Amino acid sequence: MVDIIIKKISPKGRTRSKIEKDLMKEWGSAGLDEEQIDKCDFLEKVAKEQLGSDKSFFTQRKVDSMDKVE
Amino acid sequence: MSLVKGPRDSNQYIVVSDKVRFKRGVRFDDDWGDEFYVDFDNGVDGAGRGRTAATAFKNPAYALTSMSAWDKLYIRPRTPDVAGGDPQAITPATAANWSIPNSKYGLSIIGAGRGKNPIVSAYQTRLQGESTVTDTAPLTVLAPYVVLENLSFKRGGSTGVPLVNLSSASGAYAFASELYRCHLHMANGQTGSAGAVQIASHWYANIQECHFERCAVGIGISSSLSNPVGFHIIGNTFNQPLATNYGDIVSAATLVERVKIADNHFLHDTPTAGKARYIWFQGTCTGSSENNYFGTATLVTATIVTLSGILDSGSKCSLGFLTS
Repeated sequence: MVDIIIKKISPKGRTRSKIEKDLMKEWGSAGLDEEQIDKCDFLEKVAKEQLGSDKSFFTQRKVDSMDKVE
Repeated sequence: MSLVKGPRDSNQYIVVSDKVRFKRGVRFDDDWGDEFYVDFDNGVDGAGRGRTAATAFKNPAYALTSMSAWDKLYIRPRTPDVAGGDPQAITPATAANWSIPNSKYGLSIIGAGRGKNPIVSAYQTRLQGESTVTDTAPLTVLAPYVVLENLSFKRGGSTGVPLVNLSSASGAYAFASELYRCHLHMANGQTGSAGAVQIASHWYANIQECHFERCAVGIGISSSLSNPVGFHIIGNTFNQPLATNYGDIVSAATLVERVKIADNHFLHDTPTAGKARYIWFQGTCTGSSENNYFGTATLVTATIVTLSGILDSGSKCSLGFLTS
């Protein structure tokens, strides 16, 4: 019998996307717009998965360096 | 990396390029610090405050004093002046403009305006120099690795000085700093030593996707302590009045190395004042200028750009590709 292990990314620590989401709730605007926050969130998950980094802060330029397609 | 499903919206997919692949061993812990908040209209300065959006400081200067290297500062736009044309500016609390000292390297200062285009988002969070200060830029940076995002800068009482001075003093260089999607408004320095953004005697800067509105000189480059090296000036727009535009990118340095000037839009006709060029380098420059658009009918590169030892390829004006 073979065990199938489904790997799940563990919750991130303190990250820019979390700060930005909180800021959206508090101020109604933030340093990134919704699409950028989405990209940033994804970058953080990749960083967490590849490096185990709980904390990260990606600049807006790094977030924008990702291409997005439908 | 291949196509990856987006994290939130099931209809979206994200392509992560090689640029996003992280080098093994790299960690981000050091690139963090703490976050601070400034809300000029609603905030209060004081101990124990400034660490959440709800308990924001009032003044950027108080926040800068409280912050340490690598910290992040979010600044909320002011309530708009709905009867006027310009946003209400955040101004210094005392007769001193803002400065980031050398010990506070790696700070990020981020405007929280809506949207992401500098003429919309950055415009909303305006930092303006103090009205009685006549000799310093609204913001002087003397520390490396500083990142400025989504901010608008306008001069106060000072004339003939930069809006953002990526400055240098002995032992305090603003090297490897970045302006991204910022808005530079009505700087009136007329030399390569007083651009709206001034690169002064240091190495490496990235000025990207910024908007320069009615500035006499957009980006100035100068050398006093050392020769400036390694700049990327990419994807910016320059919208200047001809009669008072002395050049959009002007270098007063005798030697500038490894400059990349690419994908910029110079929306106006050839400047008529000062250097009478969009780009003018006094001394020898190595690097490239490519893929820019110049809002002129002039096709001859040499009459609109003065560069020494630099390749200009692929740039266009309103009539087509430039010729040498």
